[in-house]
Amino acid sequence: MIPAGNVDTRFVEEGFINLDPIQAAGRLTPEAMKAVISWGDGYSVCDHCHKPFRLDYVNNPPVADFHEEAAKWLNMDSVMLTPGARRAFQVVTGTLVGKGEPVVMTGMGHYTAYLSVEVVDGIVREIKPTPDHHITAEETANAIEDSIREVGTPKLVFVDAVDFMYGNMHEVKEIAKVAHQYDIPVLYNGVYTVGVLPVDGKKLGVDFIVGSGHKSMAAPAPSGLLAVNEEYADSITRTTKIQGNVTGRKFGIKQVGILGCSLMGDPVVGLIASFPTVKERVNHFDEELANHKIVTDALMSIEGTKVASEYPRRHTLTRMDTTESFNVTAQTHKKRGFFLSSGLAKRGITGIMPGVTKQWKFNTYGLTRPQAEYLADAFLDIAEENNLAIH
Amino acid sequence: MEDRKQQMSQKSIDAVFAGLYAFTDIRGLLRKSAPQHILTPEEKEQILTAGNTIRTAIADIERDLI
Repeated sequence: MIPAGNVDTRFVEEGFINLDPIQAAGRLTPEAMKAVISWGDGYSVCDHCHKPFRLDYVNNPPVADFHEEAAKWLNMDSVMLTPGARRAFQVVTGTLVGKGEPVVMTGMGHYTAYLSVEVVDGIVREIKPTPDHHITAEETANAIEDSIREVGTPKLVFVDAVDFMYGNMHEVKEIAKVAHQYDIPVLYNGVYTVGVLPVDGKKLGVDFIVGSGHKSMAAPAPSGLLAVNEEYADSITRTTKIQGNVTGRKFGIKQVGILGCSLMGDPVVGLIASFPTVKERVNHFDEELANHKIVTDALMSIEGTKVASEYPRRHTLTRMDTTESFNVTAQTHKKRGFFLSSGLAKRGITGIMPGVTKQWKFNTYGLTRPQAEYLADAFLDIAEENNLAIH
Repeated sequence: MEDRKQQMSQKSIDAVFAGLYAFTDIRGLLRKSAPQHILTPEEKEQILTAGNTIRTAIADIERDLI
């Protein structure tokens, strides 16, 4: 393969079915791949940046329109672009949480959610997951009560719509209702939902929605967005007031929370170029689930194989439990646990953690029907090759 | 700016991007059909269309710049 200068050419998506759970919905659309060819230069989106010199006012490429359309699409009042979801978390905690103040969050959240609290010297109070790995409104109320009693009223409730550990869907609407009874704002972490399935902020009753461009909106990294309801829009998008004491310099209407212009070049242009496709594809999530079912059905037909995530599946990111099937094979196979990833690689399939045969995750989002069928057959082939019973 | 416009070869610039975008369409088809790359008749037609665009782009560039 011809390298790109001193960097290898990556052809994972062209040569393989890629099941990596965090990569599936971030694969670029052809439109985004085209857009990034011509907009890759560092400050390219600043060609047409005129007064008041702010990213969300740029009309070519249509960054300003994107802000408006994305807010409408999520049924929220405004949108801010961020370099990834983690920076959106940070904007919210930086605005709402002070030193020693508590944030209630799911115990199944991404590590950056925790760090976004740590960076403002806040305190994390976890919501206890149920034994079947769900976050409930009842446990959220318990976490809020505990927090009030022990460290103070939480400044924010942070809830994952779909968690990265199991791909389980959590009762956000009910959690938001509970949090609002205590006057606590709610952040909906939609890194596995925004751009994948329909999300309506007003229906959910949440105050903030965070989406990830590179995880779920077919955009280059780092890209993300923070959608805000009216009540918090002013504080989240507050503009600079600072002034240099010697020079007297001021900085116009730059937004403080995200340190001015947040997303430039390929990340923002890729996000915008994919947006029409992304808006449309969320309406076809049932087809994604149907493709996913073809694969989970095949896997579950292998004796001893279970779905460790909630079932029936409501998301295409799933944790499988093959302790009693593939892991049994691994005990005696000459490749040990690597036989599974190696068997998949031989069939042009990648993205499952090499060497793992007890519990592992995969995501079929974006596969075509023939690809889903090929994948299902590949798992069955590997099972047969290793004398596992299939029902 | 007007002078610069007259100097630059718009035809070649257009052709470069037309070619790159057509290659990107082929890339998209490779992605959709990985790992076997068995194409439907419609997808094969799309490959032919992209190939024609690329050939035209190269011819335009050669005519314009050489």
